[in-house]
Amino acid sequence: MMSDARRIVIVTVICAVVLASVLLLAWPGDARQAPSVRLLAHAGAGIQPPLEELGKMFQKKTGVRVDYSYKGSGCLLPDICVSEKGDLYIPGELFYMKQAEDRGLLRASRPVARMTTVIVAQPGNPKKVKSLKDLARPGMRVGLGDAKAIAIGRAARSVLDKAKLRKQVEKNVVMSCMNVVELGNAIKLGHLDAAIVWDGTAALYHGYVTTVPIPVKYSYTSTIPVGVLKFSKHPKEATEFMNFLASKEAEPVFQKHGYQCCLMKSKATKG
Amino acid sequence: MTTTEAIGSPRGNVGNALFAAVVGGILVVFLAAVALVLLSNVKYLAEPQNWSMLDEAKAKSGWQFFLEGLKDPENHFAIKLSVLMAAITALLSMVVAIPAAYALSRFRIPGSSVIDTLLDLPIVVPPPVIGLSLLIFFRTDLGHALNNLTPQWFVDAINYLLSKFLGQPINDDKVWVYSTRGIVLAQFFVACSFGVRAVKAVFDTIGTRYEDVARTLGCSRLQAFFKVVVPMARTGIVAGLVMTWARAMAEFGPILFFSGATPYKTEVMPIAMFLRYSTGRIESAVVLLLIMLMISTVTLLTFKRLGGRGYLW
Repeated sequence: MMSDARRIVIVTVICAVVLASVLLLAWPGDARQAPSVRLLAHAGAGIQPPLEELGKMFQKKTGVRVDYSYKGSGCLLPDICVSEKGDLYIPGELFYMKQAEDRGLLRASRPVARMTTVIVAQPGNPKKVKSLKDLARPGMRVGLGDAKAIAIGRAARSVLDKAKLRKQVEKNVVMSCMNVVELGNAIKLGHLDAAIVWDGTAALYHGYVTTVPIPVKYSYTSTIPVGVLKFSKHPKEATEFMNFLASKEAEPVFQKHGYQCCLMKSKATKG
Repeated sequence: MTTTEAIGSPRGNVGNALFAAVVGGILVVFLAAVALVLLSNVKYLAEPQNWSMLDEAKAKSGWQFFLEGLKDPENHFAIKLSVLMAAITALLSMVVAIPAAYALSRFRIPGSSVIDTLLDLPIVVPPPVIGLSLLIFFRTDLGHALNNLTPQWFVDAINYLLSKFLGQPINDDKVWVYSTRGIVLAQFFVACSFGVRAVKAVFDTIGTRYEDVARTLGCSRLQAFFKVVVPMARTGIVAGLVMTWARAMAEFGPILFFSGATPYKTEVMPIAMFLRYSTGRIESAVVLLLIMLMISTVTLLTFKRLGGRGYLW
């Protein structure tokens, strides 16, 4: 009994010492000064790299911090509908923005960047994928987005229809996904031979996959839009950020990450 | 007298040996499969030439990837947030679990099968169910009232402490949805159910005799609980606390739904892994995976050392 009690005391003391030292070591001198306004943006997980960078630029410029809640674009809208929280909505494609518009969830929206379809193949292109026709070769393991649920799925269907290859390629489809990044990951992990994704997605894998362009006559171009949500508590700042994403300042950042820009040519539309 | 002797015949011996070999063999194969699957992560990191065309990646060893991951400030944030949130959740869980488990262990309660089911539900349901349920709950009038009733000084104090500890400004308002402190809520239900199960197992093994004796010697129920049961159960309770903490650390689905996947805000380790994976940075995700694997191993060893039982969920 005595030794038990002693052991408990020892364990407690050790735990306390460990906890105290962790706290001491981890405790930073001064937390950076908290910005006054924080925006919450529901964003497609695949657009993370340019958005993170642009968020930091915007904070430096205006003092307003943007927090992103990332998920697959298809999951963002249900989230927003249930929680009724957040200031901005940045899905991976116009298709999702239309759904939000139809439900009357937006104050305003505008396109900010464009992306187009490309083929991605394994690093070093061991299967020698040179064109869309190669996706129809027997024995190829091809991945496409779900045509009913996600934008890249509908885009790939349109590409294959235009190239009159849909039937042949669909025979080779071994994976149909709900999030475009899963296709890139499957290529990177070597589970697929080829997939059709956005150029912005392919840029995430720079150096890890082979990118094969699709001729303009077959390719499909899509738009990343930004919307200000109707229940935003800071609509002024949110609109400012939306316009910032569509500005000349944001252009090089989007381009660096493989997107093309829409710039100010596009006007904001009222939701 | 052993069974082998009882059967006696050489044929029986062969049969028993064969049986032992098959049963043991299946165990070995399964353990090998677990080890193989987990160790393949190390192999993946160690051979970047198999997945990269970049010279800088090819030149790195798996160890360098791992060290870089250890130095990454975003990972530091994730580790600190995970450890802290899970610790708070585990302690709160114990505050509920110890009395609740005692009640379940000692009182004959009518409708105990209903209670049992309700108690195990959070552990058994797919984790996102809890997350979505919380999201829906905070839409209700009661949920809104709960937001409004949260005192401002409490919110301010939590924000201040979190900002200090995490080194990142945290300034949530009274609303729990998508807040950093909401992670505790997302972890709590599963962890607490788990904690009740763990602590109840300890109380069950102690039996009522010691308390009964204490009460015949003049202790009240309360005194018997604090002077007899709790000291006897202390090591078991600590083991339960450790496992509850581990369970809270492992939570992902509820946090993704209820707190969101926001870098430097609600980015606990599993969320950090998800964010890396969803931008194609698989090797970063694997580094985090290995860190989590190590933490879990140490936790389990601690649990066993404290005499915790293996049959808890």
